[in-house]
Formats: sequence, C-alpha cells, structure tokens
Amino acid sequence: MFGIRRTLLTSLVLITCGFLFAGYAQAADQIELKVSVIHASKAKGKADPALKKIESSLRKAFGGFSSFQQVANQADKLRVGKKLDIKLPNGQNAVVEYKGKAKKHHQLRLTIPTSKVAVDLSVPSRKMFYQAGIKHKNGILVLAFYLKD
Amino acid sequence: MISERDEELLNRFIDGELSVDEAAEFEARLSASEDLAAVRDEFVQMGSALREHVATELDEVDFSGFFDGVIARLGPDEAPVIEPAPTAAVVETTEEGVISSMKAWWSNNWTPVLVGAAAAAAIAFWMGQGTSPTPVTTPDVARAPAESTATKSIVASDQPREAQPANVVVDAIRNEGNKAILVSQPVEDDGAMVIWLLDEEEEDEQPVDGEDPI
Repeated sequence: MFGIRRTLLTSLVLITCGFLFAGYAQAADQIELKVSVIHASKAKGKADPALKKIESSLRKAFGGFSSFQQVANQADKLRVGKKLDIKLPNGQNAVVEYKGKAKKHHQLRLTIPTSKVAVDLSVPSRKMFYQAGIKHKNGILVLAFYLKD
Repeated sequence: MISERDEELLNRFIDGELSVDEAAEFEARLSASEDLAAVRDEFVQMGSALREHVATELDEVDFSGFFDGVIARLGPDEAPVIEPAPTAAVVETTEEGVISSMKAWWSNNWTPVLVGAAAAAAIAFWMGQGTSPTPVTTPDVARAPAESTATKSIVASDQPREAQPANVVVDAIRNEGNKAILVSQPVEDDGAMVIWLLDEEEEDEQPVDGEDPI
C-alpha cells in the first residue's frame, strides 16, 4: 500500500518537473516577429510617419527611392515550426517559418511561393533586415523584418 | 438511608466537583437533614482511613533492590546497555555509512524513481519535440552553389560568416523560379541586410563577331 503510494508520489513529482522543464524550453524557443510591408517608389514624397523610426535605415538601404509608405504591418509570436503568413498588396504572400535557435541566432526560412524562392537565414535578436524587389504600383514592395526573443 | 441521587451528589460534594450553586444548595440540605449529614461524616471517615492505610503500606515496602532484581531476572544477555546519548560533536558519518545508506535507500525506492524518471523524460521529449533547430536541408548556394536550384543568386559579401555574428546571415537560398536573388550586406554596422528579388533582365545582345558593339 505504502509502496504504491510512494511510487505514485515520486512519479507525480518527476512528471511535474518534466512539465516545468519542457515549458521552460518552449518559452525559451519563442520569438516575437514584426513585419512591416512598405511601398517604396521614386515619386516625390515624405516617408510615412509610421516609418519614422526606420526612415534613415530605409533611405540608406534603398537610396534610389524617395517615398516610403507603410501598406500593412503585423506581429506574431512564433514557436519552432510555426509560420507567419504575410499578405502582400499585389495578391502574393510571403511566409516566414521559425526553425529554432542555434547559439545566438534564430533560424528563419523566408519563402515567397509565387516566385518559388526560399531563403534560410540566421538572424540575431533585435536586428532588422529587409526583403525587397517585388514590383508594385510604379515602385517596389519592401518587407521590413524585426524579431526579438 | 439516602437516595442514590443524594449519594452521588454527596460523593461529588466531598470530591469538590459540585458547582458553587449546587454546593450551596447541598450544604443547605446537609444542615437540614441529619441522615444526610451522618452519611457525609461516614464517607469522610472512610476516605481518611483509606488514605492512611495506603500510606502505611507504602512505607513498609522496600523498593531499594527492585531494579537490580528486574535486571537479574532478565539475565546478562537481555540486560539493556545504557549509553550516553550521542551529541552532534561525536557523531561521525563514515563514507561507508553513506554509501550503505544510499544503497539501502535505492533498494527501497528504485522502482518509483525509475518509473517517475521515465515518465518525466517521455513528457520532456514529447513537449520538446520541434524545439531544437531543424537542420536546413536546402542547398547552401552561398557556400556551395547548387546547379539545379539556384539561378543568378549573389551574396554580396566577402566577409566570412564568423566575422559578422551580429548581422543577419544567409545560410541557404533555394530559387526555382525566374527571379534573380541578390543579397546585399550593409557596409556600416547599423545598416540592414537586404534580400533583393529581381526580375531577370533580358540578356544583352552579343555583337556578331567582327561587328563593333557601338
């Protein structure tokens, strides 16, 4: 009687520890990804006030363009294996899949299905990067990505 | 002769168990009833005589050899060995003692520990599935271009990956469409990497042999 009770109690304690450990591991492998969809064109105009924080970065990276307007933005928390579907104004979409963390870099796969392109990336936390070049309304689409732990 | 109820009250009165009100009421009855008072005196005398008798009997008993007698009856093997209680300063736990204690504990508890550990490992494995990075299986054209999949993909960086740990790094590119991919790394530390997806331009017409291009 006491043996069974002791077995159950020990199992319960260790199972609880297992849940806690697994929960901690899950929480550690989660990122928050922010994406801003921007229309860049050579038309004269100021940058969208919503892009004020990254205006200088945009002008450095895309010197040939003068107008930057945010079309859409979205953010989501991603766990390993989860995908974020980004709707583009031209009807296409881009997909970002979180593949886990290796050392200090997060592994992402950026896919643009219509163009049959997939790029695997190692991205440090709080470092922005862009994808650009898809033509849209006399300009291009710029996807600005930013992730943090 | 008194009733059983009065006898009970009288016993409680002598033993001091009556409440103040009950005792006052019973004393009034004692004053009024000679029979009750006589029984009371009788009980008091009996109690005094009994106490005196027990005291006398106890005085006559010799307890001086009682303990030795008990030890002698138990025999030498069964006699208890009385030792001073150990104190923290003199208690020594040897390594063998610890090991034997652990062995004893393990022999009693190995089943629940193993069952619990197996269950915890199974749960941790189940919940942890997919938390480790999945190896990238696409061809890494940035380091080893793959002929069948990558077309016109250029990584515009001469720096080795290890030299730029704080930047975004392209690990692999898979391109099965008709777009050209250009990756431009920033020159400045605060710059951002851009993955360009460009339409393929029509190839320039090559001049016919012997013809001036312009």
